[in-house]
Amino acid sequence: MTSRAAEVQVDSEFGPLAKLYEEHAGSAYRLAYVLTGDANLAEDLVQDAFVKLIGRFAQLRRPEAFDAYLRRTIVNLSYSLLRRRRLERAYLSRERALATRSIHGIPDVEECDELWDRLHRIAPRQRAALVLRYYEDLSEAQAAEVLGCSDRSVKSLVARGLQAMRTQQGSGRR
Amino acid sequence: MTDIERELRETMRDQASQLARAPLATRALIRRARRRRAGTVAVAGAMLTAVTIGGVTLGRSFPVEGTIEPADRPQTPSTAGPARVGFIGLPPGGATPSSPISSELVLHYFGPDPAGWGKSNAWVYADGRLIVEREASIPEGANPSSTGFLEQRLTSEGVETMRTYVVSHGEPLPGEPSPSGPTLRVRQGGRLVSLDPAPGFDPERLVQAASWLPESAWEDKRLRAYVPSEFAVCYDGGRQPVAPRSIVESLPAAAADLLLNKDWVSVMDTSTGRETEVAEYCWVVGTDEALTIVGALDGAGAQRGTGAYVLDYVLEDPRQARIAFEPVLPNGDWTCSPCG
Repeated sequence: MTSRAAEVQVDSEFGPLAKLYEEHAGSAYRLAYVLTGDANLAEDLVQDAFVKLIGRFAQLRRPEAFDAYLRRTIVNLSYSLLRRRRLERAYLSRERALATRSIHGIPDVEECDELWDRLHRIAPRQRAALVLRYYEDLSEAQAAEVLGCSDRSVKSLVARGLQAMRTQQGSGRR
Repeated sequence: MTDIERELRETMRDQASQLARAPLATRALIRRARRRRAGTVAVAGAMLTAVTIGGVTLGRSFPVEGTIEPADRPQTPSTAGPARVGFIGLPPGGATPSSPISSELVLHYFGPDPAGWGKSNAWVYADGRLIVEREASIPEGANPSSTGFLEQRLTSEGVETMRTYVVSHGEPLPGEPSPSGPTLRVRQGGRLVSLDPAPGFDPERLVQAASWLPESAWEDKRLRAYVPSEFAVCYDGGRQPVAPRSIVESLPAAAADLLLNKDWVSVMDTSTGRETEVAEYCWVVGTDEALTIVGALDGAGAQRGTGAYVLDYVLEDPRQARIAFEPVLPNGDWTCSPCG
């Protein structure tokens, strides 16, 4: 365990946690926002990601790579959060036998430009690949590590994601 | 770099730079981390005792998100201390399904786990079943990341005590619960009502009810695995519309033959109010049928997910879609197990 990991484990005042948080929270929040298109969800997601990772800090294989683990956790949680939100809404629709419009959860993407809108219409893994490559500026190999797939899959996800965005452009906004 | 790549990069950076406020207060995070650590220390002590007495080495450290070993089979229980009863995925052979198959939901909580590092679910049913699924490490749980679905049995008095606790610790919500906040629903006057947890609401009362309910509230306090009779086989392909028939036809033959005759349920993404944006389809199947589908996917070499929270597969289709096997609950619903 590195001295930093040991500090996080033993310091009852969580000073190092606060330091790690201050160091990484801003960039994590922005990444979560680009992935979800929703500032409130991004905030919740970042908090969850930190709590999960801090709880497992001593067991990380490379504690010095906290930012890489954080990035991976945020990407994985973004899939989960969006899926859970869909289930929640479907449940409420069934319960109330109502049609479909959300009352207050309309995400920020609706107010943003078309490209941003299109980004949030493509498949989550394609979006994650695009965000990691063009927002985070990761190499294909680094993005592959975050996504848990091969370099080739990243290349394919990026190509398909861009193609899907182009197709949406062709068909216009629905 | 092409034009669209350049524009996309600029758009993402512009949008991110417009985030004016800080994500959240450091103090709030530390409060959660403290709570989590306190719970884990207690649980770790219990686990250590069980492991030492039973002479069993768990032999793995906590995994980081996404690198978790498959854990869809129950592990050998130790001879002392609580046995590991939870499981992820399909039930072990010979497991008896929880009965009755159906029951009315009395209350549901989804939100932060009081002792774990993530979220938890608790469902109480009219027939007395209390089912929990937690992102927490407990001796009876399926693995160090998830408990799996665990069941206890309350008396009618216990059900009413739980219901009363929730009613007295929540205010009715006029609309939907926040998508990022906790979910608290309780049956009142024949219908389920969404509540906003009031100050003082303690989720431990729901997910660890044995910590406070009197003996008279319990028909059977032991934690057992909730063994469903049915599974929802859910295809999640993102926001690009796809016809359910084409999903089925893309699966291995044995799975396709089985699902072609089944009705499907769509889980619509209603965030934009456009019904065309179907994101997810689920088919409800019996356990034997789920086994057939799993066998077909494994036989075709489909890539399994981590197996820490749910049995799922990543498909080699253009959407990199996933197929997950979610236990169907007594009220006919299912949840998103890895969505903590």
